[in-house]
Amino acid sequence: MAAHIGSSARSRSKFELYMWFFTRVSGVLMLVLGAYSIIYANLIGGPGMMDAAAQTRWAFFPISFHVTASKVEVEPNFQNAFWQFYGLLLFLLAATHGTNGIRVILKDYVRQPVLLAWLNALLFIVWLSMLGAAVYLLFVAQGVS
Amino acid sequence: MKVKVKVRRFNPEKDHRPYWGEYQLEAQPTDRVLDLLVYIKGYIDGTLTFRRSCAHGICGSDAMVINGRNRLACKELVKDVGRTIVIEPLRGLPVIKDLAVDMEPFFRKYRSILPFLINDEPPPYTERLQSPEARERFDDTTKCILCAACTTSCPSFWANDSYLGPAAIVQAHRFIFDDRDRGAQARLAILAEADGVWRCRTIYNCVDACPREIDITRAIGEVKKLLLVE
Repeated sequence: MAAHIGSSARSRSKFELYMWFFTRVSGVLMLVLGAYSIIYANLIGGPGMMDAAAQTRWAFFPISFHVTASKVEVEPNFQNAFWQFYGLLLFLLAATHGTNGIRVILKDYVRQPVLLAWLNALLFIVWLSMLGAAVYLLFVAQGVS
Repeated sequence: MKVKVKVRRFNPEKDHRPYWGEYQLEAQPTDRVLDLLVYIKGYIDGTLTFRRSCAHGICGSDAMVINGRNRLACKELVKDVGRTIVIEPLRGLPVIKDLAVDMEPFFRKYRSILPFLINDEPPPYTERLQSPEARERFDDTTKCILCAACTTSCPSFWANDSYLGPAAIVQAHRFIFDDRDRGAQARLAILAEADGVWRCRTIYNCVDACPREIDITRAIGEVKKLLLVE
């Protein structure tokens, strides 16, 4: 009997479980990645050469554009494949973490299923566009050196 | 001491919208809020409606919003809530009259998580023995009195009443972590749905509201972790 109780027509989707876990893991990873990049920038560039704004921008989206305005030598310190993939990883985590948060809030507050589906679709497109923009900035506009 | 009691009143047969009933009365600092309500009903306005049964914090009938917080009227003392006491019905459940809300949506969720021992194995000659350590595992969640204070303090539940709510998850936790029970998989399948534990945003209102001091958010977290490793 025990095995059958409550087993009728339940969705076996583990999406919510995975997104919940992802939110926790990505939150911690973003802090670690952000901390590493800002420590690295300070070791290379040294304090005083990058202003606070440049450091913050660099910490959470390490792309060489963000340090070109400072006195730090961009090449070869910042403009290389390692930082491109590092930047992509950090951006992927942040964009997905944030977009999933909005998805969760929409699910709480939007009652009409049709409207919710449209808003989710819009959200997905926004997420995809942000990702496209990040890939363009990191790999095309900047170019692999 | 003189106290002013403001009660959110609503009689669906007479009123178009709720209004505030205001009552001035003499009270002792050690009186309970429930005593004030009983006094108002007995001596000032007999039409005031509220639930109460044991009046000792066990039956869970008189949960209400007292000065903005979900509390049992029988456990709140006048000296702790001040001279102006504002009392409203629980939020998120339909009001039947004055402070009495329709608890059926709450109990429907409670029933949905199968709140009973599930075990197919033939019972032993005496009883299903359990070690003190195994009993300790779910001791906290056995304290629940189903007063609905937690569920009706939860913003996720206010926003979307399809959420199971903290009380139902606490009750599921009580059986999932009971080593005599064999129904964990069935309950976990229910809790893993979109309207199950994932709607908990760890806001901790439920922990503040619980008159039995159950660590509710921790219990929900334990269910989430169990779902992850299952």
